[in-house]
Amino acid sequence: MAVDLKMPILIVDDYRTMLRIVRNLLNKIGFTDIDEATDGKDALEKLRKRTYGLVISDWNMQPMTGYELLKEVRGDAALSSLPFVMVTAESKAENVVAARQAGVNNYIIKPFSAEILKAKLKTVLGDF
Amino acid sequence: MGHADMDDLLKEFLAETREALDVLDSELVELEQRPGDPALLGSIFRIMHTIKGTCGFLGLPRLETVAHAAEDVLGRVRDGGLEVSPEVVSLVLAALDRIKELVADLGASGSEPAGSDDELTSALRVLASGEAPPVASEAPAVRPGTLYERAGGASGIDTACEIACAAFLEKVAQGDALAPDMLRLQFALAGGFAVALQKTPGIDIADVLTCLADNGWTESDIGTLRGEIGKAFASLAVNAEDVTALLGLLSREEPKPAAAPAPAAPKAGRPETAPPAERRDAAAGQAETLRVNINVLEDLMTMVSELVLTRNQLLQILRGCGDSPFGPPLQRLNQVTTELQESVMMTRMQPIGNAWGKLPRLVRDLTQELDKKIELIMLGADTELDRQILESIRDPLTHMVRNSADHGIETVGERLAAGKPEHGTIELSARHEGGHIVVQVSDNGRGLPTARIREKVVANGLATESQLETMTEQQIQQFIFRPGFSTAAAVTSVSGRGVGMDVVRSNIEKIGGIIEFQSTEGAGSRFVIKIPLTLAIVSALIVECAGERFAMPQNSVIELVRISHTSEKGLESINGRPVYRLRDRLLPLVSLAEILDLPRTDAAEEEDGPGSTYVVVSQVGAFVFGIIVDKVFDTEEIVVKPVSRTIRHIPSFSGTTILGDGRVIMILDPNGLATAVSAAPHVEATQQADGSHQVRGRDAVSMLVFQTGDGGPKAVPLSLVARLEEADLSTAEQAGARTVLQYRGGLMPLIGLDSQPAARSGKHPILVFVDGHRMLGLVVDRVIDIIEAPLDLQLAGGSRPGILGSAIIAGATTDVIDTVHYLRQSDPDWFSVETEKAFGEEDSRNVLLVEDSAFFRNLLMPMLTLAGYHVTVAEHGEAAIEICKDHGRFDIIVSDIEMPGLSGFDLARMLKSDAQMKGVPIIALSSHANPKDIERGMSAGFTDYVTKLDPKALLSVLSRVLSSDESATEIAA
Amino acid sequence: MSIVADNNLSDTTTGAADDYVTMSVGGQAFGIPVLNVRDVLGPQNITRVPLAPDEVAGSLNLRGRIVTAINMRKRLGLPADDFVAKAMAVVVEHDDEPFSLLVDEVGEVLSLPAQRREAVPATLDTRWRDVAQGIYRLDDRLLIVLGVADVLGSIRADA
Repeated sequence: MAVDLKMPILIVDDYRTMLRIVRNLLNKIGFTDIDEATDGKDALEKLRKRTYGLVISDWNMQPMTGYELLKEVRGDAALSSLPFVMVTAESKAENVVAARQAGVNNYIIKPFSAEILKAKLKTVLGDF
Repeated sequence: MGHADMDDLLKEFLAETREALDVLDSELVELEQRPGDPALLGSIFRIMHTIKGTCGFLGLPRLETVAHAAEDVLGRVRDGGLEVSPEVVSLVLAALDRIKELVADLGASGSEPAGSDDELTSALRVLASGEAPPVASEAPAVRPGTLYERAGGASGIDTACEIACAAFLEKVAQGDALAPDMLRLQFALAGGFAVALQKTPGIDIADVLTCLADNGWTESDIGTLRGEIGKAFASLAVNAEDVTALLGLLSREEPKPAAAPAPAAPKAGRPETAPPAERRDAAAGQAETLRVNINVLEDLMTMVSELVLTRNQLLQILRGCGDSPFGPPLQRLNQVTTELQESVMMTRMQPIGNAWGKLPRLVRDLTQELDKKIELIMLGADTELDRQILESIRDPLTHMVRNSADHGIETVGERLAAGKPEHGTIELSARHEGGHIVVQVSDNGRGLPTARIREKVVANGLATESQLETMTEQQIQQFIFRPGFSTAAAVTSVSGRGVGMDVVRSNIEKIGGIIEFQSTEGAGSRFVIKIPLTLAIVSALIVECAGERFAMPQNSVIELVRISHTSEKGLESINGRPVYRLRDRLLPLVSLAEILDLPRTDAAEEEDGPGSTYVVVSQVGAFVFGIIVDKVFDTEEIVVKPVSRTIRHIPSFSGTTILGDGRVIMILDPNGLATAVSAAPHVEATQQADGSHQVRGRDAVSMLVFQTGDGGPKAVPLSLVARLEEADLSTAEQAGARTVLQYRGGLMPLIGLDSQPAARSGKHPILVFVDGHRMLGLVVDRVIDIIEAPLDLQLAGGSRPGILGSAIIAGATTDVIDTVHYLRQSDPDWFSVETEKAFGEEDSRNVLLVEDSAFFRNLLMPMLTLAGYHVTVAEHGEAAIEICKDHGRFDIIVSDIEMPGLSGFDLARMLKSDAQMKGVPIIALSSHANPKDIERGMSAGFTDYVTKLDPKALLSVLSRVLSSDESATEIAA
Repeated sequence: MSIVADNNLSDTTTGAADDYVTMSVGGQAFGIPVLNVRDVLGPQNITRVPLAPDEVAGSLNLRGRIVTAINMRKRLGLPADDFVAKAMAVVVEHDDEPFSLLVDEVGEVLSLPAQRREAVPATLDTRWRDVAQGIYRLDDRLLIVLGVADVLGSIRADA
């Protein structure tokens, strides 16, 4: 059990339904401390107020996109090593490459099951 | 996820999606107009994208497929591969409609209905790919029960491939060397699975393996990879049987899946979607928001209303107590209550544009359907109003706009034939006006001929010919709102404009609003809706009359005048009709007791000793009048409640309220009272026949009607008369050839209607005209009445000096006198002094006067001429444009605002956009001037704004504008 | 109590029964289905509304709601001098709007068998027939069932 299931996770999406879905899936995996943010700006503020173990962010948001958020996070010394998983609706190599270059730890394609989410998180956080 | 949780989630998804769809509708129509706007495009793309993405989680394959197909089209547009054409927008709108249907069904039944979207999605896919649709039913969506779905869909396959590749790297010796290519391999494998399982175009999975072999991978490597892929799928809860089937796809020896023809060009799949364009940071500085259930707001509002009433009650008690220790805390409570009330009101305010969101789409669809060209202009979309009122007017507005598009605007052919521009215009505007919100829907279409309305009114038995005879055109037009105006037979005919208008009216009236209709044949129609702030809390003056109290909205009260019964200073009576002299104006007066038919009691007089009454000086538009009441109390904040249906027809009331002491009182409607002031006996008769309340006509003018010498009655606009006196002319004096009267410390020349000095005998009424220190008395035989009437000047009185023309007033042909003529007779310099100061007589200035009313043309033209201007007259806006083209330069243009056809605003805009004319100052003339109008006029390009009945003001504005124009020119030179 | 509850009649009922709030107006007994009645009040402070239709006695404040009072004597064409000040008020709703019907007295609730309800006799005064939905012949008198919509629907001197 290398992963602390009690670690705080920030999920970011501008669609309330998606936030609930991701929260439900994380609960199913066993995570309990989940905060929500509705766009990149909101997320950034929250990230600077509390120490999170992981960010799961949507790619396509307004006004600040997940990609922009990622760049901000990586540009911030305090946050630069924060595990960051991007949620996207398609498996476009370009997107993934761009995100990888900006420092994303992994990405996950919508829709996904708890098993898939867990497998993706393992690649980022290690076994649990 | 539990079942209940799922239901809840679905509900939230539906609510959120509906909101998003509403936005999409108007954005798409906007996109058609601004096809190049990347921000707009990005926003539309994003909404579709999000719907698609969320649907997958919720198991909504139909929604997902349609959203996905639409998203692909939008993606292609965004990447520049496709132009925004009406065809594209129509098809995306069709997808949007399908999504709405599905969402509606989902909301109703909780599950997606059965059905096929193949036709729609393949049409979308043709657009997206720019080529003929591939084999049907190859939606990339997760279909329940397929191997693809059981493998976890795109996400599961991607993850499995990722895990497998990572594991493979660890196992093989040359792993490090292969690492950079692993990501590519992962994508290739995932893509290969998708091709095999979903039959999407792309590289076949078998080809991927062949490719690996070609790149030097050994059979053993490939076997290891296969093994890892199998393990990865298994770790993602894919069952053994499916894992075997999946691995089967990877064996190069096996034949390709039969139904999957390998595409010739592997790269020519769906266009790849570039990362979303960066959007402008729209929310910079955006306040944090929180969603609140509407019911909570409603409850809050109710509670605040109760709190306000209780507060009022407490304050009332406090007032009766003199000094009380409760005083200071109650004052604080008072203040906090007011602030709380304002804040709660604010939470309920929404821009009216929210009710307009669907209209661009509606007009667009009708435009295509009816083969018309229609431009929808929306002004004042940010005007805020209470959300409940907003909801109530949403449907009526939609109905009216639909009517305008459907029946009002002509086809392109008809318009061209009528000499109109091929584009018709529907203008929707909203603005606040003194505690009301005025919403207008106007079009420049064919209009609704009054003759047609008359025919139908008679045919449907709503009124008789003889009743119609007594009505003005305006009154007849209001018949379209009557139930029974449109019969079944009318529904199908072209003039089905009346269809459902009674419903529209009743919806508007339900919230205490008023709707009016104006139409000019060939030039267009206009609906004017006036909605009071029914739910609002307003400040009102409490008055008493005949022992009963009423609330008068404070915003229409200009001032209060107390009149002692012993002096009755300023109170005058003209033939039984009271007027009040307030400084230099004679105000028509109305007794509240009389309007409301209250029993006259002398209670007020008894209580107050020597009796006194009050005049509440009120203003509606530009119309100022006085209301006589017995007593005036404090102003109070009142909660406006709508009037019961049983008494809504009474124009004098706009609402009901409960006072601090718990009693119910009626709220007076200044508009209704103004109507009563202007209602001369003959007008009342027609009002009853019409039944609806009369609204002041646009050129209705208070006329003082008098008798002098032979011939019929004469009339003069009341506003031009400073005072009405009666004098014994035997006390007048002879000064040279003139008759003068000592009056207010000066000498006032007296003349008769024949322009001759008045005879010095007998007691006569005198109409006093005042201008600064100069005065003129016009001696008449008898003052008959003051009548508010729409003026329609019948004949120009060119042959008779001193007569502008004649009009039918109170059923009698009445000569309207030309005041300027008499003033000029008395003093030739009158009206010319200021203008002479401004410029020399030699270079007489050219004025273009644009005015559709014969009365005002005849009033203003001689006056302007006398003042030394060279005047050209245009009877409407279109004529003005012609004249400007033909005759070139004018020094200044004076234009009416409200004209049929091209309005003054339109005219100003057109002139300002004309290179030759744009430097010419334009003065707006209006019978009603309020700050909003003035603001609107200024933005349309008017230089200044003058009330029609104030000729002196016009002259001084003309002279000021022209001289400043001149000095500006000099400075420039 | 001027209206005697016909206990005998209601007790023997075996079939469906309807409950009516009974009231008297100008000596005549009327009944309104109990489900239509929101409240019954004693004499109220009523604000007269100038220019209102004759039957509209005015408005009253019922716990913060403004209720339109209908003078039932006038509505039924009966003499109505000095009536309003001492009238009882039966509060009903029509088209989402509260009304209070001013009557002389309010009696008790009667449960009357539906099958004993008779059609309105053609001989009844037209003003009454317009508002009646049926009648019951009680021991000592006739009870006219009022239709709330019939009473209120026509009071709307709209164009």
